[in-house]
Amino acid sequence: MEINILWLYHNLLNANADIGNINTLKYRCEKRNIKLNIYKYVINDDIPDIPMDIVYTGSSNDKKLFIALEDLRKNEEKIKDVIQKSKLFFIQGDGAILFGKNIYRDEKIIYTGLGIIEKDFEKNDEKPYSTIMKISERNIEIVGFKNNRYKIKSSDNFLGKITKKDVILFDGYMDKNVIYSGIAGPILPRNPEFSDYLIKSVLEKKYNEKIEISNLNDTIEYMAKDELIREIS
Amino acid sequence: MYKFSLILGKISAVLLSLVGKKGGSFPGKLALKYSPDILKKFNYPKITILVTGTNGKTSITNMLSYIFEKAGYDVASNLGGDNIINGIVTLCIKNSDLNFNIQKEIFVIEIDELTLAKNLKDIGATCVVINNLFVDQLDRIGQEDYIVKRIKEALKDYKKDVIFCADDPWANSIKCEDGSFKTLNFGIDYTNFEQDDKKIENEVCQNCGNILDYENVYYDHMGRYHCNNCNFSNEKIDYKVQSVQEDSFILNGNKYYYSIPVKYHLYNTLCAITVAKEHNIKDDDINAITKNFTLGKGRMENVKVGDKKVLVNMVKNLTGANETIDFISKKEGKTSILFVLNDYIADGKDIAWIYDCEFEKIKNLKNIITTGKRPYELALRFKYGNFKNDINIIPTEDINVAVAELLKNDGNLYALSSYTGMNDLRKALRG
Repeated sequence: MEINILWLYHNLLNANADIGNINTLKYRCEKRNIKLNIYKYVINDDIPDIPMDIVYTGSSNDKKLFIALEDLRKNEEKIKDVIQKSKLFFIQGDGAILFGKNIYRDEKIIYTGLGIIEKDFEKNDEKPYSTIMKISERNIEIVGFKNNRYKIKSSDNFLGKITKKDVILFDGYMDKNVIYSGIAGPILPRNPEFSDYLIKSVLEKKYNEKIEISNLNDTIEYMAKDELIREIS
Repeated sequence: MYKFSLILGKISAVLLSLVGKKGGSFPGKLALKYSPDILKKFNYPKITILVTGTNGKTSITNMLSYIFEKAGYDVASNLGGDNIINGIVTLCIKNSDLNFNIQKEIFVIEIDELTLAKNLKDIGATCVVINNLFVDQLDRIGQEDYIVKRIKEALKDYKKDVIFCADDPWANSIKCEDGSFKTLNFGIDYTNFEQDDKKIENEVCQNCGNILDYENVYYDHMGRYHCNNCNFSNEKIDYKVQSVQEDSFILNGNKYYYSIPVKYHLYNTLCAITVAKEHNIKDDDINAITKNFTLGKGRMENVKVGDKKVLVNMVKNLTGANETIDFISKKEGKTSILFVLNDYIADGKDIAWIYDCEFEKIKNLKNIITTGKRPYELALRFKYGNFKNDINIIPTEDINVAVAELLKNDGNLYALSSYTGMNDLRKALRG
C-alpha cells in the first residue's frame, strides 16, 4: 500500500515546524510497510500528475499567507482540483484562512479564500496556549499548542472541543475530506492515535476496504503527551 | 512615590547582598510595583548603550563592558543577562544616587527585544544596537517578524544612534524615515566567507513584501540578499569585514581578533567592535578583550569532568541550535549529546522549533540523552528524525542520570541546554 502526500507551500507556510508531522507520518507508515511518497509544492510549481491522497499545509505570518494566497488565485483550478480529489485535506493553524470563504477584520471582509472550507474567518485575540482537544464523535484526544490568529466565525462542523478554565471552546473544522485544527505545529508525534486515525482513514478511503494497521510501541509518545498534559493541568 | 521606590529598591539590594544573594532583578521588581514608570526618572550617563537582538546580547554586552573598562572608563552593565524590565531597573537603582543620577560614565545595558520596544521612550539611550532578529518565542512574540514592527514603532521618537547588522534583513529594514536618528551597520563583504548549503526561498522583504533573492546564505536568514522588486539589499555596509581567518578578520582594513571560530561569535564580536569604534576606542584595547573573550557559564564552555571533556552550550532557539549543530558537525569522531529542554516562560512555552533543528547534519551522532522538563518530546524529535544511522535515544527526567549516561561515552561529548536548564546542568556536571 502507499500514500501520496502533497505538502503545499512547505517552505512558506511552515512557521511551526510542521516537518515533525510529515516525519511522523513517514515513520509510522514505513513501520507498517506502507510507502509514503512526499511531494513538496512551492509557489508557481507544477503538481505531479498523480492522485494525491493527502494534501497538507501549515501556517505562517500574514505577509507569507498573502503571498501564498496570490499563488492560490493564479493556480486556483489545479490546486482546488487536487484538494477536492484527495482523501484528506489536513490544515493546521492560520493556513486555513486561505481555503475559507471570507476573512474578516474589524467586521470588514479583507480577503476571500478558495472556499474549500465553507466558513468565514475572523481575527482571534486569544494568546497562544497549550491545550487538550477532544475530537467530536471519536475517542481521540489531541494535546498541543493552540496558536492561531484567525478563527472560524461559527462553530458548526467543528473538529473538537477544548475546555479552557471551565469554558467549552470549539476548535477547527471537519467536513467532507477536510480536517482543520487551530492547534499548530508538530502534533502528530505526541498524538499517535490521531496519527494512526489519519493513516487508517486515508487508506480505507483509497482502497475502499476496512484496513487494520499494526500497533507500534508508543511508550515515548504517550510519555511526551503526558508531559504536556501535566503542564496543562 | 518615585523616591520611595528608589530607596526601597536600594534597601532591598543591600539586604540581599548581606545575605550573599546578588539580587538579580528583585530590587527592580519591588520598585516597579510602586512606580511602574520609574525608568523615566533616571538621569542616564552621556553614553548609554542598549544592546538587543535575538542571540548574542549577553556576549556583546560583556565584551563592550570590558572593552570600555580597558579603555579606562567607569562602566556599569547587567553582565548576568537580567535583560527584562526588572533587571534593567535593578541596574539603574544600584548605580544611581538618591536624586536618580546614574553615577557612571557609561551604561551598557543588555535589553530584551520586547522590553526595548516597550520602554525605549523612558530610557535616555544614546545608542541602540541590534545584533540580529530571528524567530524566537512565538508564544510570546506572536508572528515571526512581529518584533521588527514593534522595534520600528519604538524608534519613531528616538533621536540618537542605531547600529545594526546589515546581513540580517530584519534588522537591516530598520530605517530612519525623517532623519531623526543616525543609522550605521556592520556586515560581511567577503566572497569566501563560509556559507550554509541551504537555499532560502521564503524570506519576505520587510519593505515591500516580495520574496528576497539570496546570493549567499551565511546562517539562518543572514546572508547577501537583494529584493528584485524594491532593491532593498545589504550592498552598503559601513563596517565591512573583508576577509576572515580562524581567529581574526580584516574590518575596514584593520585586523581584529575573535575568540571562538563560529559564525555567530564572529558577528557578536563584529557588533561589539563596531560600537566600540563608534565610541573612539583604540584597536589595542578592543583586541585585548576580543582575542580571548569567553563568557563561560554555559556559553561554549569547556568543562572537565574526571578525565572527560564536555562542551557546554546554551541553546535557546532554532538559530542558536543550528549554529551549535553546525559547529558539532564539523568535528570528527563519535558524538554524544545531552540536551536539557525546558519550556518555562523564560524558555518559551512552544518548543516546536526542536523539530526544525538540523541534528541530521551530525553524521557521527551515536547517543542522544534528553532531559529537563520535556525529555520525551525531545526524544520523539530524534525518534522521528531522518538519521541514516541508528541513534541510541535515552530520555530521563533526572539530570544527574542524564549526565551519568553522557559520561559513559568516549569521543566528543556535548551538553546543551535551554535557558532555564543551564544552572542545573552545570551543577550536575560539577557533581
